[in-house]
Amino acid sequence: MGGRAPNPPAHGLGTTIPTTPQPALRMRGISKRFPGTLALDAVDFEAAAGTIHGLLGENGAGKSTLLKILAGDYQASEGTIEIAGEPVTIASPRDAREHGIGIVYQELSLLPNLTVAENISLGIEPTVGGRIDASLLKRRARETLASIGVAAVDPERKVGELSLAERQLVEIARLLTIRQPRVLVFDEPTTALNHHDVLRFFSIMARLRDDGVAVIFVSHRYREVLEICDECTVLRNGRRVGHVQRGEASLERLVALTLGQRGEAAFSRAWRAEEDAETVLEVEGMAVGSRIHDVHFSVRRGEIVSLCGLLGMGQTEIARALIGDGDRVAGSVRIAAADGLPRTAREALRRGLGLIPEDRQAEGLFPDMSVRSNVSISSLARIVVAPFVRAIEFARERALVQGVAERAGIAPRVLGRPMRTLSGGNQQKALFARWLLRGTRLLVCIEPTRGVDVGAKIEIYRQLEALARDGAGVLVVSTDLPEVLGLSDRVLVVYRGTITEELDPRGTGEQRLLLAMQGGAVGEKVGLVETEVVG
Amino acid sequence: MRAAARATLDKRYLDAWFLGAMTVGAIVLFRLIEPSWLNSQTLQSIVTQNGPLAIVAMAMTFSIVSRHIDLSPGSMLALSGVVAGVVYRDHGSLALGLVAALGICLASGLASGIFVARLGLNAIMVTLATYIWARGLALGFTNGDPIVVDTSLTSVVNHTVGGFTIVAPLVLGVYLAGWFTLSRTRFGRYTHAMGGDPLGARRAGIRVGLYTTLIFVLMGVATWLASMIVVGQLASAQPYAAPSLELDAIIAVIIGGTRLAGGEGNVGRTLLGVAFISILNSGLLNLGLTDAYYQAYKGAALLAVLSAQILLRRRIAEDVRRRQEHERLLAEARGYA
Amino acid sequence: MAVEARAAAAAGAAQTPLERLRPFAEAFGTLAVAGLLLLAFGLTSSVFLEAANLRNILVQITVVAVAAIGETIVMLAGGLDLSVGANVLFGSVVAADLAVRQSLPLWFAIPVGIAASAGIGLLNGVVSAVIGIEPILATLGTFLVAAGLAKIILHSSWIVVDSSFFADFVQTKVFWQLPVMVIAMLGLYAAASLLMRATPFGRSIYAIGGNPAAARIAGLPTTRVRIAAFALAGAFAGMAGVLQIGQLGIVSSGNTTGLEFQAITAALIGGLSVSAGGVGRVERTLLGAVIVGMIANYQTIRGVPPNYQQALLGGILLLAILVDRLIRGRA
Repeated sequence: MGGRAPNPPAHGLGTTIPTTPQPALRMRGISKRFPGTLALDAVDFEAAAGTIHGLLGENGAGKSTLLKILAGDYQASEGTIEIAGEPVTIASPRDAREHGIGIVYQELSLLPNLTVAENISLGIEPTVGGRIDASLLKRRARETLASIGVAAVDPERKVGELSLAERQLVEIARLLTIRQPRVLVFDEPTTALNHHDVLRFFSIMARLRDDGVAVIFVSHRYREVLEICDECTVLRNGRRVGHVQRGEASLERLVALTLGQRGEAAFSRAWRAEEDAETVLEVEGMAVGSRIHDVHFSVRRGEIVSLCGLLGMGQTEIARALIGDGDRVAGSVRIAAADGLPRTAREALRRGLGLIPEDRQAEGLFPDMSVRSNVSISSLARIVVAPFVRAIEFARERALVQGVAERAGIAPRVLGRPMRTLSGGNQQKALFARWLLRGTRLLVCIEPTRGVDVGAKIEIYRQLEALARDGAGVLVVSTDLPEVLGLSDRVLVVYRGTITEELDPRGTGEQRLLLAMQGGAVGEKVGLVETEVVG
Repeated sequence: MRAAARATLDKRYLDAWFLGAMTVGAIVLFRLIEPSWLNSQTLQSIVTQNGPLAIVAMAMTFSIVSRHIDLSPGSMLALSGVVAGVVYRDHGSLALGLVAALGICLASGLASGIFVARLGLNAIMVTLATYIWARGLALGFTNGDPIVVDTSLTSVVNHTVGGFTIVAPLVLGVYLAGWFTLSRTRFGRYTHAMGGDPLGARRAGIRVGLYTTLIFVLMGVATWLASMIVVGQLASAQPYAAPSLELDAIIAVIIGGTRLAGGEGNVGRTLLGVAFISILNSGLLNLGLTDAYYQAYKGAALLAVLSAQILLRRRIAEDVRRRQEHERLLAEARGYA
Repeated sequence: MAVEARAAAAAGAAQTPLERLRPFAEAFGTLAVAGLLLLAFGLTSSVFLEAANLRNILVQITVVAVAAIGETIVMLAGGLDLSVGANVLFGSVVAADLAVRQSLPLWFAIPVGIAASAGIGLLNGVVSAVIGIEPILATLGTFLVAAGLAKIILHSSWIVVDSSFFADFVQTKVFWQLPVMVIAMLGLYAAASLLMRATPFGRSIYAIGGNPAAARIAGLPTTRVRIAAFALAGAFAGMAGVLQIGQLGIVSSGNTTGLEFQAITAALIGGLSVSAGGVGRVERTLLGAVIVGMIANYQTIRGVPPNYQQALLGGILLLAILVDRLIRGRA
């Protein structure tokens, strides 16, 4: 099929993109080696002008490496890149810009306390004798925004006041203003958007496509990919494993390509709880803000329950609401026979909850304190001498921490070192040990093995299993499929802010799970007809 | 849409209105207690006395908006005056002294800028060091005694037009220039950018090092101007001059509504802050209060205004957030229609 | 996941020589500097190492050093206290007023004076931790209030404290001929060091200063601890004020000019940072105060005019910050 010949842009800025028989972007035989691994293995990727091309693959499949090479942040170890038939070298982000490559990342590059107009022209402000020509600045912003079909955003507003969706549009406008791109890449643009914003975003991508831009849409959300893309390429383990045209694609096909043949599971449960253990957490009718609604689930003692979904579907918000971090939470929450949602983290701890946060650097660790202190910090009451003299009894602290550290698989010799010197896996184990020491009824772990090497992962899974066996409940939030299936007793799929399915991991394969996370069901036909998809 | 924008505008200026109201309230209160207080003469003296503070506060606005705090102005003002005085004393020319003073102010600002911008040192610590050594040098050069200079500068500074000295138009001019720079030039917008998101600004290609250094140099120039006024008014260089000028300047900027966290602010608000402090100072002084009471009241007033600011801001943020949520829900509903 | 994670892990393992130097530099750097200065000054001056002179240094730094204990605690928790100097004055004024003008017994006047300063500290804590005003601004406000109140009580005058109890602070010598006030200072440092190292409160301070978000998630009572830190700083300021009465025998409004900056300087030279909490030790602030005291003393011996001494102090502070940045990397 290939791309359609670009029409003269109706509202585009700058010059019309010349039509060439060559694809706008051609990456051939791209390999990228890092010490010890091969991130990309002879990957071919072509994007034609005037098309929307989806780039799919699991985390770690090589998508971001490919993008970084395109962006000039990395250099390919092997392979060539051509833009409109001309071979190019992209040695730096500036080269990428000059060759007409623009990338919109999830972390937008806008400055929140400057206005929309100022952001769009940042660095290239029109000046009149030392002062910024404010009216020209505004006009430029308005024109660019109009050219992508966005009239509603006021150029005078500060970017910090805009919604995420509007900020995205401003970022796009900024890229268009700097230079008319030939290739525009969107990296996971819809993760935090609501449905209305997604549709608006699609119409803008369509406009860009109609102007002759080669749009590359990197996404985990296959329904969206099926709706908007003309073709897509799937990567797996650093290789290109599939290229699908619009008519040939389906959710199941994409899921199958993404996952391929899975080998033996690295981890499986050695023990499971009885059916009639008492309930430790009961959530009914929970709603958080405007995006999470109608959440019902429960966790029993000895159970490991996973909340699993694509990034941004709401599973993290649900988990954090349990420790008091939710914004405007409604519904009923019952923790071990006591009603009510904890309002602060401190209260949550008192009720027996513990949290291992998704970003341990930002919210978990005390980098300059010793590992021992990091572990004992939530159990200070347990290591003091006596109520009268509130001094820490060091011997007791050492003994207790050593005990849980052994259980958590941390070598005793690192306990005295500053936390920041530990590897990711050991840091995560230390956080886990913190809750072991404190004792929890329900441990909430968000992405428990992010940034952790394979060996430590298995250890952490064993620890969680041991914790469950000791009578606690465990709630895991994860996007890692083997982890979810290997670790959990029950899997709750979160899609669009609510729990859509409950799966038994013992009877579910990764393909089935990913399909459910994509909001699909077996045998469902999606993508052949441009219909409104109801999640 | 327009109406909503207007409403936001109003709400955003709420703390400015509050400050204005407090200023007016203070004026009314003081006039009630001491009716003869606010006449044209006291007004002139308020302006003349607080001219240096106003000028330094203007430069401090830039510093705070860019998320740096500069503790050097008070000590540098004294040192600048002393340098001028010493040069005058040893070489007979006050004009030469003024140039030398400018030189040292520029050099100090440049050095601070380089330390902060290039070496990444914390601005508070670097300027704290300046605060200490500049005062030390000023006292050291003069042994604590003022240096009397000739009246050539004094005649300029005290020259009155229509009852006001040149301090008034000078301050006005400085504020106009500052307003123009901060809100209309690239330098000004980049100052906002650096203060709001320093990493983001750097990533966006803004020359953070250059502009940060410029801001410290700007403070140097402002300090020099202020010190010239002081030397002119007193016809002498006082090593003990301006003992807490930097703190007063910071207070003026913050009371005016600029946030300590940086990223937003304008000089007009600072002028309002300066006005409030000047009125407060003058009124309290005029009540015959000793230095002590006036200090205590000033502190209490500062805390009250800051607390009010925070409470107002929280209320505004809540309203804004609610409105945004409402808009979003409406948009979604429209999307489904 | 695989590639990125491995690359990151690899990056974490390697350490540059400077980084390996870090723990030693942090632990012993200040001590080494103090030792070097002692050596340098001792070799170049016949008077410096005399026992009487060394004792004199310790006496001179006592008030600032004790005030700096509180300042250090606040800075460790991630804040800054600009009201310390005025608070020292306030505490001493209240104590002196009660003891001399109201002729109340010392066992009443002194604790009340300290409590008054602690009250100001409490105000700092509430205003910054509960209302949410940044500590710099909040303590600026209380600085003015405390200084004002102190001067009001003084009635624009001064109070001469002619009391053998207070005079004994300086005159009575205990242990190695050191005056009582120096022993008191050392004792307070020992107590503070114990507090920070061996109590839940101390741990909480380090945690809150090191990573406020993580401290919250770990269940620490962040607001309460912050308020307590400021209140404690106030108490130490009050104690410093009482000691100052003993040292000077007179309470007047000029006693404490610039004291808060001296305290902050001592803390900074001792290795603390203004921008980041959670790192540093109270004992090193004592070293910082000693270093500053040694330098001032040496300058006096060498006949450097006192004002130039101040100038040099500013330069030394700058140097200390530079060196700290070199060793620690960008803050």
